[in-house]
This record gives sequence, C-alpha cells and structure tokens, in this order.
Amino acid sequence: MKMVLSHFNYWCKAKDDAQLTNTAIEMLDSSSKSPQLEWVPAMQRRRLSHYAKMALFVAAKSANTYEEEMLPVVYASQHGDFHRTSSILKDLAEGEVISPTSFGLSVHNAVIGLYSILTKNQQPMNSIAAGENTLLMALIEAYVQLDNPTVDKVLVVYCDQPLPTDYAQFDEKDSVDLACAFVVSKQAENGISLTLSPSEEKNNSALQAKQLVEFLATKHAGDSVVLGCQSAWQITIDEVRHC
Amino acid sequence: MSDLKTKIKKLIIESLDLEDITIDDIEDSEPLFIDGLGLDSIDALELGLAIKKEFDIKIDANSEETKQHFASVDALAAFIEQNA
Repeated sequence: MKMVLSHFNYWCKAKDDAQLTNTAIEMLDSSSKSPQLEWVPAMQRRRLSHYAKMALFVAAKSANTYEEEMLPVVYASQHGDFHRTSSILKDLAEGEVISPTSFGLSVHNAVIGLYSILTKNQQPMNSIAAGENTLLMALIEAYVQLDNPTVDKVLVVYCDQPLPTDYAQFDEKDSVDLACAFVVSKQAENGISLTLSPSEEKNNSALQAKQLVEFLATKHAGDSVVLGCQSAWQITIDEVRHC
Repeated sequence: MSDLKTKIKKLIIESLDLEDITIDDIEDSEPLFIDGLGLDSIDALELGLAIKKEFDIKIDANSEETKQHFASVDALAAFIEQNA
C-alpha cells in the first residue's frame, strides 16, 4: 500500500514536560490551556470542550489549503470526548437530569459533525475507534476510501486525551493530549510518501498514536516503524518532498 | 433590578457558558432567543433544565405557553413567581 501524506499538523500537551522529552513532538501553544479557534463564532465556541477544540484546531489547519475544495474526512479517536461522557455518567449515577448540550456533544462523531457544520463541508465523513490501533486504522480507512475513483484526497483527523481521574486505572501512564490531522492521497507532488505492508513483528505499545505522530514529525526518508498488535503494519517513509 | 431577575440572569450565563456576557449585558425585556441574546433550541432545553433544578418548577416542553414564558427575563421572572 503506497500513499502520500501532506498538510500534517498536530497539537500536543502533556501534564508533565518530561513525558515529551526525547521525542520529536513539541508542545504547542503552551501558553494557553486549549488551542485558540478564532474562526469559530463565539456563540458556537462556548460549547466546545478542550477535546473538541484540539480536534477542530488541527482539522482546520490541515484543511486550510483546500478551502475551495471540501475534503471527505476520516475522524479517529480511541475514547472520544470521554470527559464529557463521564460527567454525564456521574450525573446519571447521582440521579440528576443530564445536560442536553453534553448529551448531544458526547457521541463519538460529534466533533466531526461540528466540523461539517462550521466549515459547511458536506463531504462524506466517518468516525472510527479501534482501541490502541485507532490512528493506524484511520490511515488504512483513508486508503480504502481513495480506491473510489471520485476521491483523490481524504482528510484524517485524530484526537485523544488522558482519561478522567476516575478512569485512570484504564489509562496509559504516559498518555498526553494529542490531536493530529493530515491529508492522504495516492499521488501528490509534495508530502511524505509512505509504504504500508503487513508485518510479522508486533508492537504492543498502547501509545501508538504518539509513536506515529513522532515518526511523521521526524520525517526521515528510509525510516520505518511497526505499529499494531492484532494486525501489525510496517510503515516506511520512501521519500519526503517539500513539507 | 429585582433579586429574582439577577438570579435568572446568573443562571442563564452559567448554565449556557456565556463566558463573555455579564449580568448587565442582559436586558430584562430583551428577547432571549434568536434576536436579542441569540440563544438557540439547545439553549432552551438547557435553560429549562437549569430552571427546573434551581426553582423546582415543572416545565411543559410542548406547550405554546412555555414559549411565551421563555421570551425574556421579565417573562421568566413572572412565570417563576406564579409557580414558585
């Protein structure tokens, strides 16, 4: 499987700077808690959680160049906006009536729905969750969509954050706020050319999205990484052109 | 300004995350929805819930009258006073 990745953007924030040392990922926008979304009208922005802001921030950055051309979107998140979901669950457990706003925005595809409304993009969009393999599966999903002759570019958007404290036992020790977006095409003048091939070797790391973002941020031609535990893939960077 | 109206305005700002709006920005008689403050249908549900919680008032979501009660802070205050 060969594909070209371009317009790669990410937003990352760690609880502790040490979690990001020795990685290619830099903490972005460290001065503010959430990324700034000036392009979203204030009345809409007020309802956005930190999670939604991270996702919309990278999506808009990567899609910006294609303003005239609306791209189909593959949205990927292992947990979705789980901070919102967990507060709803808490209200239910305490016998409280749940917030209609939170309920509407807690579904897995809510962020990409908001993206569609805010950018007036009516292209097909789907939302996937595949455990630790979520970002890898999003890449494969995008590749599958490119098989349609009418589709030549797909925007991939990924976002996850550490689980709320009550669920910390299910989380990885070094999980961080991480959102990334990129455009995938079969052929493009500029970008990172990748080859994906099934791998015998497995990768049991639960922080695969972070690994993949690090790998893409480093963008060294010739480098390769193995991702995935149940179905593992080797990703090799063949060439890097103007990005 | 009556205490009840101040309380309602505070409830509107807090329950609807109107971060940049203060109590003084909301006029008693100004429409809350579409024009005026510019709230939408999700806000109506959220505000209904907040009023139900705060004042222990049952609100009929389908009644035409409910629309009138939610027209402005003045209308809400009158509705709450009647039903409290």
